[in-house]
Amino acid sequence: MNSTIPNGTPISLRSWPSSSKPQEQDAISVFFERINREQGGLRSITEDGLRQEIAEAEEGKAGKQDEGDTEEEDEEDPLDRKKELLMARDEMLGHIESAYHSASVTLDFISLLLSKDTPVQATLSMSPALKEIVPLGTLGVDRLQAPRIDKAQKDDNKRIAKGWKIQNINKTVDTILDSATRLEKEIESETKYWGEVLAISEKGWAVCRIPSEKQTLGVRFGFPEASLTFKNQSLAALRRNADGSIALDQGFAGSEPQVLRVRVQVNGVDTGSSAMPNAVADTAPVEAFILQARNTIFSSELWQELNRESRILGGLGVQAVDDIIVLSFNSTKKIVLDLVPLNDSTPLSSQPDDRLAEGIKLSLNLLLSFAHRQNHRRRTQPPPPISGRKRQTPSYNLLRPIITRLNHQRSIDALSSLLSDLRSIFSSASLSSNAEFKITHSPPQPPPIPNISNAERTVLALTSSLEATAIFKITPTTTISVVSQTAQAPAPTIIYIITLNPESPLTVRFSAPAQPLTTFTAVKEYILHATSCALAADHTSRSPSDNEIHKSAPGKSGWHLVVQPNVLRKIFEGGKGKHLGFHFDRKEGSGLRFRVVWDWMRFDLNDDSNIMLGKEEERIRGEGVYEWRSKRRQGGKEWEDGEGEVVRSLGDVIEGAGRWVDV
Amino acid sequence: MEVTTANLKDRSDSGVAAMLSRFRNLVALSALGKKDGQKDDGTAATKEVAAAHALSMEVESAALVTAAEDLLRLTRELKELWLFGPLRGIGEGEGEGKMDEDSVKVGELVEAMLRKDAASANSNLGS
Repeated sequence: MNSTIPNGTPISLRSWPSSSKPQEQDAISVFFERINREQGGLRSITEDGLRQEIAEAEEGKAGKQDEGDTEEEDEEDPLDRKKELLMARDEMLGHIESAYHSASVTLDFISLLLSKDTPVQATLSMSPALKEIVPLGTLGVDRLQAPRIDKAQKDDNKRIAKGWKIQNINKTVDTILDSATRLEKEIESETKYWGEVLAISEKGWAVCRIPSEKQTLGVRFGFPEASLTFKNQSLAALRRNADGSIALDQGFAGSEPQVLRVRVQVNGVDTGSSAMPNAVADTAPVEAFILQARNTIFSSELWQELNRESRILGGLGVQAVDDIIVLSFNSTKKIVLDLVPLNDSTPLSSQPDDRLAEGIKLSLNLLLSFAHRQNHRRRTQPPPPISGRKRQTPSYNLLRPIITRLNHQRSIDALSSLLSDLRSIFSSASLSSNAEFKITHSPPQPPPIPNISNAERTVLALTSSLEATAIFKITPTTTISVVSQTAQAPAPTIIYIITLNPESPLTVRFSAPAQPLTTFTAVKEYILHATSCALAADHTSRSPSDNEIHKSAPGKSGWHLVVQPNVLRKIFEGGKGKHLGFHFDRKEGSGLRFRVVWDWMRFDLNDDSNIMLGKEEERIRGEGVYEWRSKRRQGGKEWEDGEGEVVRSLGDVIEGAGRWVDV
Repeated sequence: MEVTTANLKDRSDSGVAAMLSRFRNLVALSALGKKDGQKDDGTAATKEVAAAHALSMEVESAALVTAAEDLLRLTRELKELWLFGPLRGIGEGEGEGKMDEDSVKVGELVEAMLRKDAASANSNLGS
């Protein structure tokens, strides 16, 4: 098939651009171009604004006719001056041209004149055109009569010349003196200016030339790793005042100084606030202004990044409402972040949670600097392979490390309170010889990033991969260890890894969960149940052979395990059996509770008939309940109401439970 | 125009030379043009010569001022170069400085304080 277009050439399917005028006027791309040119972009256009502009234009037209002449004169003035300038320039050029022409004509004339007498010199100064037109030596000069200058005229001439010379010398002296004073002043102010610039530069600020004005110096107070919008605002010009001192000129980006404010609120009432510096007075040295500008740009960047991060942290209790960000600290306290301008506000009185607010603000600042450092690291490393998708920088980790740390603290607290409650129960049940617990914090392992500096290592150590281990020894044979680890990505979570020691009888009956647990409630339930099972297992008798115990045997012996791990069973002669159950639970407000329940078995082992359970049974002799509670420090109340007896030990209770009682 | 040491030195030298020569010309022009040992015929001190001298003196004085400003410009360029141009060593001012050691100590302090807070204020944080 013949085709004029070879295969493989890309074909553009756009139509020819139409050149007919009416269509051009209406094409939307032309509209956009015009809007961008005239109105400065689509962003600032609103319907109301456009109507206002139309109204103003109409008013302007009407008003113009009233104002009339003065306006026209004013408008013409700048036009006139331009025209004047151009006209003057043209005039000057014309004058110079004519002067040049007359001078060259004169030169030719004189040299032609002299060509008779000194042809060599004359030809040197003659223009080539003249040489062609007129041959040499055609003009001659001769004296007709002696010069009639007599002595009086000579004296006169001398005096005139002297006077003129003196005048000129005076004029020259005046001009030179003027320019000398002007230059001296200039040098003075320049020296002062440069002195101050040097002082600024020695403080550590980077001084550079401003790209738009080549002769003005500026100082860069921004951060090289900040995002683009802030980098554009981070240059300020150092302008020289009339006397040489420096004024900082931030251009259109200069705004009032702002700072981030952290407040701690309880039920809407402020209980703490971070410190806010005062705005710099006008008479302060330039460095103070530069510092303030840098703090402002840092705070505004921090605010922007906090907002960006809070949008993805909604599931962790972070809310961004209006102009504030609210973060829940614990059940009562909330942390409120907002950006406030620095006025000369009255200093707030110190409040109890000021330290907390200040600490959080400082840590946010540090985390932003750390994020800058990570940006720098990312920039200096070789870039990832090019792919079609556009990569965006992930939002900085500002609130997440704080939340991680809080969660970690909270989980350690919960663990230690649970374990200490258990220990107090054990001690009240006289089991304290067996139970101990210990919480250790393992040193954090920062991820192996090469060339990490100590400062970065510290930040990482404080916020990521925090680990704590709690080891709880229930009985001499059973030890539970709980490792709580924090993870930051994708969301701050804590996982709990529970392990049992291998020789514990629990590994068979109620072993540790294979997967790490994610909530503290699950951990608590595991620990409580495991404790009860361990205690049950501890009190079994060692003789598996007898099924039936003599009725007069001591109460403690004869218990053996059943399928449910926290229940023990004892069979007496004659088939009757007793159950002994161990339960731990936690009640709100009254702490941990340990219950031991013993009752008769509801069905005979020798009897195969099914007995209906579930009816309300009255309390028969030989059954009972005993409880131990963990003492909560509640204003000195040690004993629960109604409990006046001495607390019995677990061994006694089991002894009592296992005794045979005739029913 | 490349900024080299030779260039800058040339510019300063030529500036100074220009100022001196202009000044010399000025002084020469301001003389009356009388030579020693010549006949006092006054032919040298005519009005035309005086006029020509006047114009030359204006030119010379303006050139003197320009040369002075030129030198001033040169000093400013030198100052700029000194501040942030190639005269500054590479890598000055970067690095961690004292922040490294401080950060380790601060980290330890913060960790200790957090653990102490956790251990003692058990009931404050709630659950």
